[in-house]
Amino acid sequence: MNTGLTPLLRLVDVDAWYGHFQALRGIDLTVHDGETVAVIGANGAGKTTLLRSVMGTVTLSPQSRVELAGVELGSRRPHERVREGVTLVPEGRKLFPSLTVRENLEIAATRARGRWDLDSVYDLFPNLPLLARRAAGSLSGGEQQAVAIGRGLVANPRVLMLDEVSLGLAPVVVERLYGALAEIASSGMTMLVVEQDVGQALRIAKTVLCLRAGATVLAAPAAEVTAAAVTAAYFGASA
Amino acid sequence: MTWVNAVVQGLLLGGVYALYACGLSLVFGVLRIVNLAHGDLTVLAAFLALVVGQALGVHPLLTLLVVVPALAAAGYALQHAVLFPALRGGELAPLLVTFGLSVVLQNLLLEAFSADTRSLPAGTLGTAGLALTDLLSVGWLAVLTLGVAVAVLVGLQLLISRTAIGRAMRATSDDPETAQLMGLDDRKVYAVATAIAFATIAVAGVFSGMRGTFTPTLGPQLLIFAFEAVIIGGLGSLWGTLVGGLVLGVAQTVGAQIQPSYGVLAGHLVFLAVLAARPGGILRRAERR
Ligand SMILES: Nc1ncnc2c1ncn2[C@@H]1O[C@H](COP(=O)(O)OP(=O)(O)O)[C@@H](O)[C@H]1O
Ligand SMILES: [Mg+2]
Repeated sequence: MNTGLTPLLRLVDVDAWYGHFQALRGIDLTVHDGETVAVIGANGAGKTTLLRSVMGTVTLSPQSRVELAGVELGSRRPHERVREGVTLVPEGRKLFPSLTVRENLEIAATRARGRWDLDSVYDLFPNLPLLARRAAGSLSGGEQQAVAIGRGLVANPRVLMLDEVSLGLAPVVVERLYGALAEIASSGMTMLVVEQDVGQALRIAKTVLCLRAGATVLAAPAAEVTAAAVTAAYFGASA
Repeated sequence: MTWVNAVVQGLLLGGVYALYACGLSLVFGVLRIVNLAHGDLTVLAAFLALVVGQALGVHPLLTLLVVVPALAAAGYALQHAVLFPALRGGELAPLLVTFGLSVVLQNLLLEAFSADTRSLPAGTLGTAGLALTDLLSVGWLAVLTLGVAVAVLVGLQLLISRTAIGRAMRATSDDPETAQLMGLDDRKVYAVATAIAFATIAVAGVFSGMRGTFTPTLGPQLLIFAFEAVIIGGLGSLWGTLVGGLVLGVAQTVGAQIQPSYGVLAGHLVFLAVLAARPGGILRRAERR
């Protein structure tokens, strides 16, 4: 899978724990500069935990390594990792409900100007300017997800991680959001996308990683992944 | 006229209570930490103003230049080094820490200053007044205190609603875990919020020290008044805290007008009545959880 690209995010032998429960087992993953990797798997497979291991909000075994552009994130606290250049659009959007849409975006915006700012997010999601002064808690699910994606973008991360963007949203809304994600990807953003909706995931990803019970059961270029292979990996049937 | 006088004096007294309460309101409303040492810190600020005023030979108002930064620094350090780490031990842990701090402060102040009753020498500011009518006059210091209380609360409200640090405080209060994911250092946000709250405690200590008397063990009494003002007005609402302070002040002076010994009791009764009728307080903010 060596394409001559630079590895940007690298996970090596990652074991993650919630107390005595091991949620990830020996995960290896490399995301190259500018590529999109999709992580799929059934509920409870460990997808969210994989993203948390990058943000530093879950306990890892000592040998586990998480590197961003060659820098070991190790003991850094979550907000320091954001400064290093990883941002998570969390599962369930997690907007600040009492803040306005605009404030939700401003809070994550970096002072150092990058490709993404409030204006370019408003261009990407043209309905957001109209909602800018509304409390984020009062928006519909799809609108909230757009704000959550925008909030991730304005941090101008080197790697943008998204957790189940489609969760609980109508297909037409999901379609529109993935259209925006495709635009973001084509702007050169490196992305790690967790998704249950395999069809959408395959649409924007170059590489697919399938997890089952905390372990990798399939890692392949998206173009070579068949529906049968995904189903087999998902449910553990012998392919 | 005596009733009008009671209400006017009550509003002025309410200024003191509002001032006591704003730091508590901020720590309670934003950080969701109940600071049981709040009253003792107010007393500490008054003693600090006494010492600084005597040492430098300056008016208590000038000691604010020392007392405010000193308390703010203490607040930052306390939150950063003690309260924030204690939060990991559950919500009860910071409560116990502030209770311990309350006991320690009272004993240290007793040790250092004895149980004597003190007050800050306000000079002519403390005695001069304005006669509104023959029967109704207001003291300048009381008016100034109310003005300062309003200014502090307006300032806090603007800080919270308009500035980046205020936005960070609201976000962290909404959802601390997500705030971290958005690059906010929650420990620093908490420490800055506490520093701001302690700065208002310093102002409250100096003004109440000039308006009345204080002893090392007055803290718990002040805590109760501050608490009542916050609850009457509504948790998490700074305007509510102003209203709560004024309602408490008027209840006390009007109660005392009925029967001198009823003053404080009337305040407690109004507090209980508000709690029973509107548990969220008079001005509860609807969108807050
Ligand atoms: N905070 C937690 N404490 C204990 N166990 C957890 C916690 N979060 C997740 N788990 C467990 O870890 C496993 C992986 O969870 P998760 O990463 O959220 O899965 P996914 O995102 O793929 O649905 C599941 O078995 C889940 O029950
Ligand atoms: Mg998940």
